[in-house]
Amino acid sequence: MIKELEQYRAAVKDLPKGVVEAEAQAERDDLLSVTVSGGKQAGCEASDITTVFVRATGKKTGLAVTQNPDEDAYGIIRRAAEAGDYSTAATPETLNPSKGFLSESEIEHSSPKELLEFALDLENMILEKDPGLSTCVKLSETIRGRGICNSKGLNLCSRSRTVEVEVDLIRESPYGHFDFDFTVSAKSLKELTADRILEEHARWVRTQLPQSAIKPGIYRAAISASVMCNILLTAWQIFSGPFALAKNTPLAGRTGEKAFSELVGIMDIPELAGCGYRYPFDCEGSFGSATELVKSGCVNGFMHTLSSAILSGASATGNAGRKNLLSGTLHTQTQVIPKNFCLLPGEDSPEGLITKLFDGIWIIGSYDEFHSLNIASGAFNIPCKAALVKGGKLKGLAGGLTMNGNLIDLFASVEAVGNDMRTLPMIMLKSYTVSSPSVLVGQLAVSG
Amino acid sequence: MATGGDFAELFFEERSETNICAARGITGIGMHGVGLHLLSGSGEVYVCSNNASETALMGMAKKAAELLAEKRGEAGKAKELAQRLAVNPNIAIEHPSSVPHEKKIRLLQEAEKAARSAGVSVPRLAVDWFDTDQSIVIANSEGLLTGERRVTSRVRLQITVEAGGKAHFNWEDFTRPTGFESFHDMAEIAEFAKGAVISSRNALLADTAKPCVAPVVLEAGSCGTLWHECCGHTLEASAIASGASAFIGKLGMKVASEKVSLADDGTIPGLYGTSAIDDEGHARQRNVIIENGILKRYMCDRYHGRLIGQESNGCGRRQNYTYAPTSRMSNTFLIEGTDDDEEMIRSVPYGLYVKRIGGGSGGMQFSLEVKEGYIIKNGQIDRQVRGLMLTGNGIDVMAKIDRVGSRLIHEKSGGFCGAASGLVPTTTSQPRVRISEMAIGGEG
Repeated sequence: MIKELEQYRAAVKDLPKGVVEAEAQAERDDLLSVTVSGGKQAGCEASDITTVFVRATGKKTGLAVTQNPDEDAYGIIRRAAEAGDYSTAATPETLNPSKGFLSESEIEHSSPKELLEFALDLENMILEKDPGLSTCVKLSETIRGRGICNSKGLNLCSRSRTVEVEVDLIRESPYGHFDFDFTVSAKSLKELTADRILEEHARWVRTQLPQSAIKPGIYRAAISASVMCNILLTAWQIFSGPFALAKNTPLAGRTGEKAFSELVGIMDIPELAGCGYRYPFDCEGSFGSATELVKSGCVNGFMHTLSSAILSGASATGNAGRKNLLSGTLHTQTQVIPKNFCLLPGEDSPEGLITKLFDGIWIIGSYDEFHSLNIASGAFNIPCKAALVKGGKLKGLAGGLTMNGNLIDLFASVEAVGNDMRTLPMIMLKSYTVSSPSVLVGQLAVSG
Repeated sequence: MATGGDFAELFFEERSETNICAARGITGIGMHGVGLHLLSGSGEVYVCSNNASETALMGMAKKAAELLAEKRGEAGKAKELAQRLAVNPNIAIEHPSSVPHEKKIRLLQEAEKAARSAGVSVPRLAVDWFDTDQSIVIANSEGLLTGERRVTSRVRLQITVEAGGKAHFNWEDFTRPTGFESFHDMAEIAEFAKGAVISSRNALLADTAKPCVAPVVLEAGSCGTLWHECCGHTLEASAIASGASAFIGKLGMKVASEKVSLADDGTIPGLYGTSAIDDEGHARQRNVIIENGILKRYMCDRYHGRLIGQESNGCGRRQNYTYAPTSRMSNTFLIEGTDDDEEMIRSVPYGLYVKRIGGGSGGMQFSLEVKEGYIIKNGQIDRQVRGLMLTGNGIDVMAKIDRVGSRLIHEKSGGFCGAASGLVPTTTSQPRVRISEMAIGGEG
């Protein structure tokens, strides 16, 4: 149990005068990490932060947030209810009516020594394979606790362990400077196997090509799994239920329609094999379900909070979160965020996709999707780098490019889907993950 | 420190934040916690918690000592604390907690009214208020005891505009590093709100432009984001120490056109990146990074400065106590030159004039979103174009600066820079500049 939530369990059963209902939700992140570089420990971090979010309804519903463990639960509930007096919403917010109970047991951290030895071994393994590299390996283990209780009888508490390795590699080669960073997560150190790390390294090595030029134009293109993940980190929003209600996504009103290639399947799931991020229930206490968003190219549904589900006549999908995108906005209000958002894999190996592509380009790197993708229209102009492919062979690398188009057209033109699933957690906030294999698309405009 | 650390620092933080979102009422947020930074030779340990009680602090110290696996260097001794006063150059008069919620709500209502009066179809509009009141106290083993109070206030507009069967999402901030006193001029707020809607509509209806390589003129003011992204991040000591910079080993060498003199200055009153001290208690200062094209210094925090053999120069920053400090920018700007603003455009047969930049990403390769751009045709500003990104390699682009105007305009609002130590407030500014040629990518 999250100890900060204990006083609220009593308080929500005995609400202060004028408060009709209340809910307390706590997030605890207990992190231990080590960073190694050049065979030595370079840094170490430990943090233990609990934040409590309290919603209370008097006439309307308000929210108060605290990290101070000494603050009195009744005081915060009153503060939340008073804040609700200023709401212009027509009705109070819906608290989860479920009387569900879940109590997962405590999880112990690995020892710092164990993490350090593991990180050093990983670095050593990469350097044995590729001695000329400059490396930095950060291995972290986070025990995430999430708890929620409300005056309707809901009482849930989950514990999850996420082990994650972040690897930075730099190589100065005759072809130029190549750097690469990747992240691999797992539910335990045991699951974090060496082959997953070496596989990422091997993919990077393949992209170290001599400089080439790619002329602006429309190409058949393979898009690497890492670039697809970068795109999905922002693009998932087109499946936001509240955005669909506000007609703020190009998929609004298209449920049941075949918008994409029939090879495209997209799901959002609470738990993904080989991924350390797990979301048994959301910030409103709705249990996470596997939500099929696109099935064989057809738009099947959207991700919902309790309120957007009610307004849409759908069911809540366990997608109420707080940390949606990296921005200066405070991450306190519940809104739709994914759990593990996945473009489902196909059967082609990445090499098979390049063979199928035969002539075209292979997009192998991208950046700044946050600024280069407009969620209301789906339009994108994403900075990228690509390799020229001729006769199924990689011929050279060009940077300073921009891929231009629209998300809907991009997914509609998918001709083949790879089997090389890659997973990326949300940048910095790590509040959700996206996964994707490489894809082959019939046409992609590239400039630069 | 008895177990081998040679430097220790405690960073205490209390932060109150208010978020007003009309449909969802008010959220009052209380952040509270402490971070402990322990250094030993080239190693660092950071431990933090929202429990700042004495018992918790002792537990954190014990944990930090335990995590310092390799006890390099001599065990340090802490000096007696001596208080050093720090007064924020950004003086807040009406602190957030002293202003009734009703006043802030009225402001948002007026802003919404102004946005809706722009004569544009706006199917989605959110006008939100954010203010922060942060107090920090820093104590370190060198005997420093200091602290500061920082207040910021912000109106955020999120807009989806519709025209001709197309939609476009945009957001704009009106930010000030002060209290509510900066929000009394309703005409200014209304102009901001209406302007944001109109510029979103114009961006939606603008033409596409063919990708090309051409001269690019970037307007004075916040287009200075160019410098933040094209070289700022790679001039931070953390990038130098990790090998992720093209500027390694180039101190004293020519790294840009001689027209380029670049500074980062966290002392300028009224700017969003300003404070009296950085988040390690070091007094902020004006750092001239590049002077007439010659690299003069890097931006250093204590730890990464130590790794590259340099002292901190007041650039150690963090979003809050949950992050260890690292080298970050504050108010980064290109120092004014002597070139004629009008001639810069007049002498371009075909090119791009960028009036506003939306955001971007930095590193060895950088990218910038053109939020408002126009084609230059025969020396005249022509039609507006949309969907453009400027991409390039920092060193290459800096060598191609062939004009720097004489009118430096500091960004009045400000934004957030997101990196290893979280989101920190920054501004980016410049006089009007011209890049002799640059790849312009777009959908045309």
